[in-house]
Amino acid sequence: MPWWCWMNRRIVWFGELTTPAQLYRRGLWFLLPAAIWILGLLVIPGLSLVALSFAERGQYGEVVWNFSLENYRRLLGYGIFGWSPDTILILLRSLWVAFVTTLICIVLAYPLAFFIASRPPRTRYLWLALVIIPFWTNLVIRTYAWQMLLAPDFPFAKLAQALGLLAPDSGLYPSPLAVYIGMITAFLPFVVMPLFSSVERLDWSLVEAAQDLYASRIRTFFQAIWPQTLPGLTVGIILTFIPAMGMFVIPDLLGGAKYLLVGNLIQQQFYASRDWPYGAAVSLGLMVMTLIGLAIYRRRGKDVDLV
Amino acid sequence: MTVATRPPATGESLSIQNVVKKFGDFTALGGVSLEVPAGQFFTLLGPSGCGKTTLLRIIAGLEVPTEGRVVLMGQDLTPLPANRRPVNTVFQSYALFPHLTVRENIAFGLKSRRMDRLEVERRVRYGLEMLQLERFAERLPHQLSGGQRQRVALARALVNEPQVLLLDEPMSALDAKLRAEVQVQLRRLQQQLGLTFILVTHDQDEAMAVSDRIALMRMGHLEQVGTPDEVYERPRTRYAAEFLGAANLIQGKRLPMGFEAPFGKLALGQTPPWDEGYVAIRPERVRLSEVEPRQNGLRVRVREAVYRGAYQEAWLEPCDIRVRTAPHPTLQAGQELWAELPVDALVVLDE
Repeated sequence: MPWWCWMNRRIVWFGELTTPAQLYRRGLWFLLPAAIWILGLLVIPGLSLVALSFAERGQYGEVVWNFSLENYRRLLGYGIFGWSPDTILILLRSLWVAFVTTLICIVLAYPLAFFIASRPPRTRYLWLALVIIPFWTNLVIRTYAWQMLLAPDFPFAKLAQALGLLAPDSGLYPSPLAVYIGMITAFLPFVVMPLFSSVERLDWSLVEAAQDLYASRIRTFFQAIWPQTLPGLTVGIILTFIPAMGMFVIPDLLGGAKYLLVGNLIQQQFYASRDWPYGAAVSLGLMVMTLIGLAIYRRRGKDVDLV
Repeated sequence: MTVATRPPATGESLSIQNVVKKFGDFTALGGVSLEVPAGQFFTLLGPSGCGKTTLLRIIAGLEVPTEGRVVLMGQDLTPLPANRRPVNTVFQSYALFPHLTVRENIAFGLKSRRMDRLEVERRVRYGLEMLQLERFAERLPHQLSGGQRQRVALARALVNEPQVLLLDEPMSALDAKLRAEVQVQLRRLQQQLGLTFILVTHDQDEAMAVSDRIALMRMGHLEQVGTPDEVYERPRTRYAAEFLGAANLIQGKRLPMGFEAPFGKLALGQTPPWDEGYVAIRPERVRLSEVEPRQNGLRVRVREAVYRGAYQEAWLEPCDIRVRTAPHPTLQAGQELWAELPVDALVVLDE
C-alpha cells in the first residue's frame, strides 16, 4: 500500500472519525521547537558560513564583504607563493587519520563487544561501564593525561628507548603515534557501545546453521555474524569517522606543530590568523569530504542490503 | 515433485550409544541408546524439556555429549565438529540467512565445501525444483511466507545430500491446515529420497502421521520405541498411554484368571506382571450395545455426551470410562446401556 493511501485511510481517534494525515497536521505545532532549533542553529549559521567563505579578510582580520573565490583557490593550494601541496596534504592526512582511527577502533571493538556480551548479565554492565567511564572525563584532561603517560620518564617511553625504537631521553609525544593513541582511545567507546547492542541481540541460530552447513570459522564470521552486526557497526563508524575528521584537540596537544589536521587548520583561521572567510571555506571543504565519505559507505552498504 | 527415487539404503545405521548430557546439575539426557536403520523416518517425541532437542543437537554436533558416542555408518562422529559431519539440520526458526536470497541460501552449504560452480548451480536448481521454489529464487527470506521459508530451509539442507536429515520441530511455526499438508509432503519426500530423517516434535499426531518409528521420551530417557501402531496400541507405561492419544486407565488387582477393577472383574489377554497395577483401553475401543455382551460387559449410565461432528464422546458411570463412538445414534445423558471392554483392547501396563 502506498504511503498516501495509508495516510488517508479512515481511523477513529478517541471517538472522532479522522485520517492519519489530519492527525499529523494537528501535531505540526509540536514540531515548532525543533524547527526553531534547526533553523537557528543549523540552517542560518550554515548559510552564513557559505556566504562567509566567499568574503575576504581585511587588513586587521575583519571580514570584508567582497565576493571572491580566493579562499577556495587557497584551499586547493594556490597561495601568494604559487601552488603548494600543503593544504591538500592536511586534508588527505585528516581523511587518512580518521579512516585509520575508525578501522582500528572497529578491530579493537569486535573482541571487546563479544567479550562484554558473553559475560553473565550481572557483570555485563559493569564491563560496559568500564569502557564508558573514561568517556565521562573531559577530552582535554584525558589528552593531557596521555601527554604525561607518553612523556620521556614514563615506562612506555622507557621501554621504547630500551628497545632502541626511540632516542634516549625523548618521549613518545609529540608524534603521529601519539595522535593515533589519543584518537583511538577517545573514540573506542563510540564503536563498542553500538556494536555491543548488536552483538547482544545476535541470532545464534544463524551461527549454528552456518556450522551445520559446513562453513569454516572465517566463513561463519563473515556470513552469520558480521552481517548481523552491521547496524551497530554503521552507527559506530558514523559516530567515529565524522568527529575524527574534524578533531583538533588531540592533534593539537599530541601531534605537535608538524602534524596538523584540518581541524587545527580551521581552528587557526578562527583564532590565531583571524581569517574567518578562509576558515569558513576550509570548514565547508571538510563537510563536503565527510559527506563524500559517508556517501561511499552508504553506497557500499546498499550492496549488502543493510543500510 | 520430480525427484528420482533412490533405492533405500539398508543395514547400516545411525547409532546413539549411551549418550549422557548434563547442564550443570541438570541432567538433560540420562544415558540414551538408540539404533536408527538407514532410510527410516524416525521421530523423537516428547513434551518440552524431555531432552529430544538436546539429543538432536548432539547428533548435529551443536552440543557436545557429557558421555557416550554418536556413530554413523560405523564412523564415530563424536569428536567431529558440526561443520564436518555428513548431517544437516532444519532449524525450528529455519535460521535462513537474512542477507542472502533463496538461491544463495540454498547454495550456502555447497559453497562452504568449495564445490565446482556448475555442480553448485545444478544442485541449487534441483533443490529449487524439488520444493517448488523456482519462482522465489531471487527473493530474500523476509519476503517469503512461513511455509515458503520452511521449504527453503529443507532445500538448503537436502541439496547437500546428507546421510541423515535432522528436523527440529520444523512445523511448529505453521498453521494447522498447512502443517497437515506439509506432513504428507515431508513423508513423501523422505520415501522418494530414501534418506534417514530424524524429526523432533511434541505433537503426537504429527509423529504418528509421518514416522516409521517413534521414540517416546520422558525426562531424558527413552520411554518406549516402536512403530506408531505399536506405541499407540501397546503402550507399555501410563505415561506412554496418556501422551499418545487418550486412554482410560483402570487401576486394580491381579486375579488368578484376569483382573479386578473397582467396578467388577475383567478378563485379560495376558497375565499382568504385578499384583496391583494398571490396564489401559483407548476410548474408541470401548463398544456400546443394548444387549449384554458375552465377556467384560458393564451396565453403565451415560453421565455426559458431547457431539463432535465426526464422532461423539461420552463419559460413563459408575466405572468412569471415556468412550468415543460413531455420532449416530446420538447418546443422551442418563441413558442406560451396556459397555464392552474387549479382551484384545485391554493393554496391561508395566506398572
